Amino acid sequence: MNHETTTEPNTVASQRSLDELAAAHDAEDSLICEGCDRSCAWFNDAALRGEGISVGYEDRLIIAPMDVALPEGKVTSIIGPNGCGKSTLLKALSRTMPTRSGAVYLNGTAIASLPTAEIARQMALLPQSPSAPGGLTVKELVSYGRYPHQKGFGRLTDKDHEIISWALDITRLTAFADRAIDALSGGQRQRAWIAMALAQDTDLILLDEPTTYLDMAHQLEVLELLQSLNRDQGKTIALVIHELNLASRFSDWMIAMKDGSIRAAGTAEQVMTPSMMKEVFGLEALIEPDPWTDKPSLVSYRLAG
Amino acid sequence: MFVVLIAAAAVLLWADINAGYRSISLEELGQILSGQASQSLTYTLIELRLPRVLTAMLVGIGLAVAGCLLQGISRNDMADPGVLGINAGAGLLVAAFIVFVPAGAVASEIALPVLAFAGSLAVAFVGWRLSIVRGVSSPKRLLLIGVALATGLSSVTSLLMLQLSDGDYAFVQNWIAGNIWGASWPNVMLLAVGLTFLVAVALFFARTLNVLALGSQAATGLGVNVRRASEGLLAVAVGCSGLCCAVGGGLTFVGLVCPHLARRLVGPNFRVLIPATVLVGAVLMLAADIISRTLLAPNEIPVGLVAAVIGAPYFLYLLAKS
Repeated sequence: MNHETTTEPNTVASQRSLDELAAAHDAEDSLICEGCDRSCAWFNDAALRGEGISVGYEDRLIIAPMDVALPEGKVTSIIGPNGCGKSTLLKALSRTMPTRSGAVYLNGTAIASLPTAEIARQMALLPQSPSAPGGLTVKELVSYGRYPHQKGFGRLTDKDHEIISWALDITRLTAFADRAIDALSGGQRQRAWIAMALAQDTDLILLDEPTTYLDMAHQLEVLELLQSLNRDQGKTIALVIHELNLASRFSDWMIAMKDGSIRAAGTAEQVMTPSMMKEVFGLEALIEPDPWTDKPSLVSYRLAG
Repeated sequence: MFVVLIAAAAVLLWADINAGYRSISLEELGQILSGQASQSLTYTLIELRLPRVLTAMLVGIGLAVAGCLLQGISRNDMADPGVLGINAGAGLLVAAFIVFVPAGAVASEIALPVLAFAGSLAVAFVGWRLSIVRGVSSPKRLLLIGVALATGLSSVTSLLMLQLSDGDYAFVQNWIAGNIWGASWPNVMLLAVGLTFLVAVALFFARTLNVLALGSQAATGLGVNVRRASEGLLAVAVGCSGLCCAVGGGLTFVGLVCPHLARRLVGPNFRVLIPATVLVGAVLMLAADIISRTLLAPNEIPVGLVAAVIGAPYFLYLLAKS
């Protein structure tokens, strides 16, 4: 099936080149990116954006009021130390955690005004370390991705079957379709969940730490899959990730967080700097261009004195 | 798999109809159906055996489905109507009725099922409300609160029962252990209609249960309003178990073990799991009913005890194997 036709061609934000976005950021002589708030020209064209969103309980603020935007048609990584609020930000943007202030806009529409099933037809979410009931097969899990498109008793239509086999195919799981999820390796399992998100047939996919607990080869496998989904299918992808070199290598856009606020945002070259490493992670870092990819790469680091 | 289960249910249904003082042959069944049999034989089948056997079967189905739904909503394999305190709530009201309402004041055939049903709903509602913290109900909290409620209510029931005469005490004790005492055609019809409706609703939401089983975050991501879906399905489960409690007493084990057995047979997809659970519930309760009525005939053992005695070892075996 020609699945490309079901994804809209990238609109304004991605037509604007990354260089342009980056230039807007260079103009600001500050690590805290002023270009990512609502004064920025591309902000309103973002696939998903939060305006003045904050998250917290009683007197504890997990995320201070912030503006944040995920550029359309790009891969965005959210990085930061443990407890910095990066997963919370992703949850707030994906309506799985209530915000205390502000509003989230999905393709320009406030998500608070959209039915949750409608949001699910536009945005897929892969939670951190998801778990499937024992004995559930890969194909069944992937078919659950069709939930927001189904009606009535939920019999799968021809179109559902088509999209499910496409999702299995693109994640190279067709041979494992009838295998139980709990019998798969960690990397295969993560691909099965990604296939479920793909079956949801959305332009935007959010992933909370999709590479955590995977070995290096499986991390690469997952990220290359996400990259190809972005390049070949035009999907907008945002992920929370701990591995900085992989984030640098695979993302068009990076957001660095600390203590519940954004400290830097921009291209890998703009964000992966010794000063960001010091401010956000408290590390003195040696960063060089990766000889293979030219992306900034963390060569060595030590605790900042 | 479904063919095997349906066949097993049919065989047990026939065996259960035949279990008892007077067995009925297929030939006689034909005579009864065509109206040629003697009045006493017809009476035995239509007025005594059938309501009893059908009640047992329906109660098994209802409790099994209730357990299946509760395990799905809470994502906990230990959930069943007993653990949520639903039975204990019904038991308390039944005991209170027998203690405080003088015999004969109100027809107990009507009052007891109504009270049992009301008690089930009330406890489920209280447990659900208490489990909501910061606007979110966690399944784990719901189960812990259910266990606490069940324990608390059972002790109050025991306290009340101390004031009962031997006969009444035995009745309440039997009720709590799970005894089909409300077997009559009106009850069978009520159960059949109520359960058909509730099971149909459960089947309609099978795909929502499937998605809920992936965890509340994934379910939200897929477009489920987790709170509203859980509340609705909880109401269906409580309705099922409340109905069964009303005529079958405090049967506990069926709701726990049947969904497990069904999951072993057909896997975790609720679209097939719910029908399989229905059949497993019917099979287990019919088997238990046969034993309960024949083992110490003419005396009857509470069917709940029999279900637990056959169910428990198998359940332990399953747990040890996995």
